[in-house]
Amino acid sequence: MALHPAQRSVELAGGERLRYDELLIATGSAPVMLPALAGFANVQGLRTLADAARLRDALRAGAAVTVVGGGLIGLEVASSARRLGARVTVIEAGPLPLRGLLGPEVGLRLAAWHREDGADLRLGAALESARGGRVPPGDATVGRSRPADRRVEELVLADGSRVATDHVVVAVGVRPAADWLARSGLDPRGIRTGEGGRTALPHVLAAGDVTGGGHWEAAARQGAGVARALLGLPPAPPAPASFWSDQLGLRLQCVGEPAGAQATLTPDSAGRGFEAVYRREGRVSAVLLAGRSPADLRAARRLLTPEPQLERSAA
Amino acid sequence: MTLIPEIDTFACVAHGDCAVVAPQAFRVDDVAVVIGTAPHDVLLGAARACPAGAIVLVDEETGEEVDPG
Repeated sequence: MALHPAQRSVELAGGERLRYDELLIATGSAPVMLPALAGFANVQGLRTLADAARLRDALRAGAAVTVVGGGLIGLEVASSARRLGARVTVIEAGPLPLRGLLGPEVGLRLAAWHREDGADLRLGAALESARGGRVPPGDATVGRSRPADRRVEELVLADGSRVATDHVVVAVGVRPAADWLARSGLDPRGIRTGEGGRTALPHVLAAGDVTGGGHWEAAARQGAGVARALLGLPPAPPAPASFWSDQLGLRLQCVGEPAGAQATLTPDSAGRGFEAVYRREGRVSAVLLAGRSPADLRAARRLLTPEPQLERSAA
Repeated sequence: MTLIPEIDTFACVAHGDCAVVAPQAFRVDDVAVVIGTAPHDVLLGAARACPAGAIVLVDEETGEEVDPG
C-alpha cells in the first residue's frame, strides 16, 4: 500500500488505485516486538482480538507467564494472569513500573501491590536472550499465522539471571502502523496533525494511534474531531486527556497530563484507594484516582477542563 | 428508591460498556443515551463498568447522586 498525495490516490497492494477527495489515515499502531524474541511461537503482543484469544488460552493455572514491560498493559496482564492462577514474572527496564507516566510515588505503590499479589517483579532488568526448543504438536497457545515452530523455554536477563517460561507477552509499547507512508511526505513515526486532524499534506487527515497517541479515549475523541472537521462542523470543546486501567481489583482513572509532573498523593484511610494530584509549575496538570467514585472522576475532569473563552461584552 | 440514569455527555466517549451491561437502559450512538431503565443492581453495575465515570444515577426521592461503589 502507498499514498500518492500529488495524484490524490492510495495504491493498494494489488496495484489498484483509489482516488480521494479527502483521505483519513487511521491505520492505528502495532506492538513493538523485541529482536531477542523474534521467531518464537509462544511470544505475543496484545493488540487484537486474536491476540486476546491466544492469551486467554495461555493463562492457565500453574502456567509460567512472563510479561516483558511493566506499563499499563503489562501490569493488567500480570494482574489477570494472577487471578487465573498463573505464575507471573514481569521484566521491567525502569526502576519502578509506570514511573515515567505516573511518577515514583504511584510506581512504588503499584510495585508493592503487584508483589503482594504474587507477581515476581524484576525491576531495572533487561532481556538479554531467549532459549527454546521445538513446539509440541497441537499447542493451541501458538499463533496459527506464524511459521515459527520454536518455543521460548527460558529467558536470560542482562544480570545473568534466568526466567523459565511457558508463554511471553511483550508489552513494551506501540509504534504507529504507518510504514506504508514511508515515501509520502508524512512521518511514519507519528503523523503530526493540527486543527481537526489536518496533516501537512492537503486533503489528508489522520486520527488515532497512527498520530503517535496511545490511549483509547484520545483516539476516540480524535476520531470524532476529524469527523466534525470533514463535515464542516465547528470543533467540539477541548477535553482533557484521560485514560483508565483496571488491575488488582482497583480502577485507576487519570485525567490530564501526569508525565513528568510532581505528584502529591493522598491515600484513603482504608484500602488501596488514593488520589494523586500532579502539578507542573504550580498548576494542576493531572489528577489520578484509584478506587474512587464516578462523581470524583467528573469533578477531576471539570478541574482539568480549560475554561471556555468568554467573549468580552461591550460595556 | 428509584434510580434515574443520566449520561454526562461531556465525559462519555462511547466505550459502550453500559450498553453491554444494561442494554435495556443504554444505547451508544455518538455518545451513550438513556433509552429506558433496568433493575437497580443492573444500573449500578453499568455505572461501575463505565471507565469514564459518565453514568450518573440519581435517587428520585432525594435528588442525590448515588455512588455505585
